[in-house]
Amino acid sequence: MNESELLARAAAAGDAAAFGVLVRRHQSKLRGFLLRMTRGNHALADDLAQETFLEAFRKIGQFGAGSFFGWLCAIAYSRYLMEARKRKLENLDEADEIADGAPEPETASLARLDLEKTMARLVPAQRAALTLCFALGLSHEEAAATLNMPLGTLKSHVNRGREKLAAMLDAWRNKAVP
Amino acid sequence: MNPDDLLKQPLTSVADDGFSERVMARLGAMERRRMLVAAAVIAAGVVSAFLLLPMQSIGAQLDIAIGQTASSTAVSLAAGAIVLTLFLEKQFSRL
Repeated sequence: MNESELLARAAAAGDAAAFGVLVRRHQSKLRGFLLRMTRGNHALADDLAQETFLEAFRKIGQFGAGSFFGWLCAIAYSRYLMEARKRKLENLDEADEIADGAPEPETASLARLDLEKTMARLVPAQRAALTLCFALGLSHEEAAATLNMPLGTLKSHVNRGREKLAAMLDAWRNKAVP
Repeated sequence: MNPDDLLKQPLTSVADDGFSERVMARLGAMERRRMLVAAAVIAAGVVSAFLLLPMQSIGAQLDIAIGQTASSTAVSLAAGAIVLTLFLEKQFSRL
């Protein structure tokens, strides 16, 4: 059992200070994840992160074994999806996906090549899958559990996301360096 | 840089800047509100019970029941057994 799991158990037993340690320990990564999900909207990412921690505290008794951060991300992703639907932030479905062609010529510059901007063009499920599996180092199984989707679907999101990302980067480079 | 290397870059580090304290403050307020609601529900239940239930008759019945229980040999023996069990368990746990 790792330290976060021990702290989570202490918090479940009513130790608020232990939960405070968990908040301080995981806030940066969680806010980073939500910042990417909200495509750079700091205020919304912070609101969602706060709500995530409050919900986590309410449900801490339901946390079993495994990655505490993965469990937090599961709550955060579900909150993000609810908020995105409510505010109609972006198209969530594959069918309504944003056209992922090359960007406008004036933005096609290697100097402005930015992973966040590229990621923002992917559908949320792909963005979340790629972030969890690559930037946050979760296994495919953990990421699938976090995003509450079958393993095959997760792998498909990862593969499609990678392909699109590579295509977008190629398109940008070709325009920037003819 | 190939896409996989780009993706493996860690997420931007976000400084705490009082975020954790704000979360803990909201958590404290949430807990206080929860306790207040629970206390209000219990108080409302107690007041309702006093208003709706025939308290005098219940009190009289309780007096009789307590008197009978206190004078019962079986209940006294059971209570003694429980006290003895707890005492022995405490003693053994120290060994």
